[in-house]
Amino acid sequence: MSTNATETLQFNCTTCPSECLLTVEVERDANGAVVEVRSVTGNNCPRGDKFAHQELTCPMRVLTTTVAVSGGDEALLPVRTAEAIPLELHAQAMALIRGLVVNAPIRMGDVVLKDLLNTNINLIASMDIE
Amino acid sequence: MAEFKSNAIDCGVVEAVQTRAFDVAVIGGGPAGMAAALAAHKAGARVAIVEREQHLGGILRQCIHPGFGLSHFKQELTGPEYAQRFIDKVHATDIALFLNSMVLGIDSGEPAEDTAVHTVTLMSPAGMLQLTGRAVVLAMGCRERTRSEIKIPGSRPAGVFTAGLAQRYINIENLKPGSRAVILGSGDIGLIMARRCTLEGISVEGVYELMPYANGLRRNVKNCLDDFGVPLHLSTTVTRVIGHDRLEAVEVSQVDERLAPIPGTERIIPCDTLLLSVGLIPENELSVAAGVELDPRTRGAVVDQSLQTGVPGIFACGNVLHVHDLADNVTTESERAGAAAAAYALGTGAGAVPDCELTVSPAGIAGYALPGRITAVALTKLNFRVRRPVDAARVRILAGGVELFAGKVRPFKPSVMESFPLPAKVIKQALDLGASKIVLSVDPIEEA
Repeated sequence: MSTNATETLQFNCTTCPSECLLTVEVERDANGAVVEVRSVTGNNCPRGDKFAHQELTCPMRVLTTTVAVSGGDEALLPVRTAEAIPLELHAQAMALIRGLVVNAPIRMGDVVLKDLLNTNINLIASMDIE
Repeated sequence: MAEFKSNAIDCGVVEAVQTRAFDVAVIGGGPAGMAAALAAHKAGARVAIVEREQHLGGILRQCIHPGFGLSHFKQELTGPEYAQRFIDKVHATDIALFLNSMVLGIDSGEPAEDTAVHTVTLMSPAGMLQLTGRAVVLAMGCRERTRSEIKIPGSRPAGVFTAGLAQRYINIENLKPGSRAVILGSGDIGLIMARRCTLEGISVEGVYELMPYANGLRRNVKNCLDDFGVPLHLSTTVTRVIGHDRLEAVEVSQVDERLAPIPGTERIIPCDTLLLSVGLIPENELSVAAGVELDPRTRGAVVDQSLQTGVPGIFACGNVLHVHDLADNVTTESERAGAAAAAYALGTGAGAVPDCELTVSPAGIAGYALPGRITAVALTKLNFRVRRPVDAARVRILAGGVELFAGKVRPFKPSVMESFPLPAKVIKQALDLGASKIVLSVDPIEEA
């Protein structure tokens, strides 16, 4: 009676430079939604298992881009999200960040935008600008 | 200094060029230069850094993506964050900074016989200046290969950029290089630019790669292409550039096993921008002019185990020595070069008199081996890179036809710079055999 399908995926873990090739067995329902991650193999440490589960439910990435600077010795400030945010929010975040202008001087770690898209994650400066 | 001859020099005005004395002069203020300078300073040397840009940081300032620091800082940093940590450390010392300053030559272009002191001549905003030091560290980084080096046929319209130049336009200069891009080459910069362009609203039609495998790190294929649905076309290359004033399209073709385009597979891809990520070349104009011998395989200096070039007192590290894939590895290597340069300059180093003279050569699928010379019987870090990916191969160390070491069987990829610790006892064995050459061979194992 179950219409669930089991699928085997292969992708690399990106937690550390070892980049273990993970083989992941996943059960999906009729709509393609993940029901269960059945097994993860190929990882040399427990972080690979955690990564595979996260990747199949809600992939998270650090977003990096630039914002315009006013009155500084550089035209652009490189910025990043302090932690990874859901990958699916990146396009929306870019649209929001594109309009920002910050005033120099700026220090690495300064908050450029608080609580980006209600993720509870701040957008912070990646570098000093005088 | 024949190249710079002028009336002023003939009149003896050259005497007025100001000279500043240091122990170690570092050329380049990127990750290699900063790490070398900090290590030399820590060893007690008086150090100067010469940097042609307005700021320290080098190429890291435009590498705004994450992926740096995983091994050195045990956390994932962006390029600017990685740079800023070193910039802060440099600023906390009395290392002298010569910014906006271009080095014109080392030792007046003549390899000095008695290299007690090297001279670095530079042009700074305040005029010409000479720095002296018993040691010089070359840390000038590398440059991108261009269209002319891979000889793509067709017209010469605007819109063809190296990927790193487009990265500079987008991330530093706030310029948009185009609207619809094709990327040639799956090196890390090409992959990272595919993501960067997509995020900035520049559509990326695809990444084309001549080889049958991706050249960049796996994480970049995943995070830069797969995440954004950008297709990677392997064994395919750009065979024609089309457009008069501005790029209008490129023609791509599949290639055969010998990498030759297959007639009849041509496709026309409309685009206004072509980004080239087709390799990096160490920037060694200054080194060659100073008499430093280069290895034709790395296109960087031939160095010994302390990263000293063939010119005593001149050291090299980072991408000017060989192209690295991780900044963290540049830092580790450059700290060694800086410490060795300080020891040389201050006369505190062991091995002032060489223990031995061995050359190191690559064999099998190893594309190069570094250092190319070994002059001390001590644990030596060997770096190499394979020329093609293999699922199963092993590292072997040979001397005088005898196998001195065989590593475990494992996969190797050209995108990963490998490191192999060569034990002192293996060097001793090679010398006992009367060998003058050590061979680092990477040999594929045939599947049974």
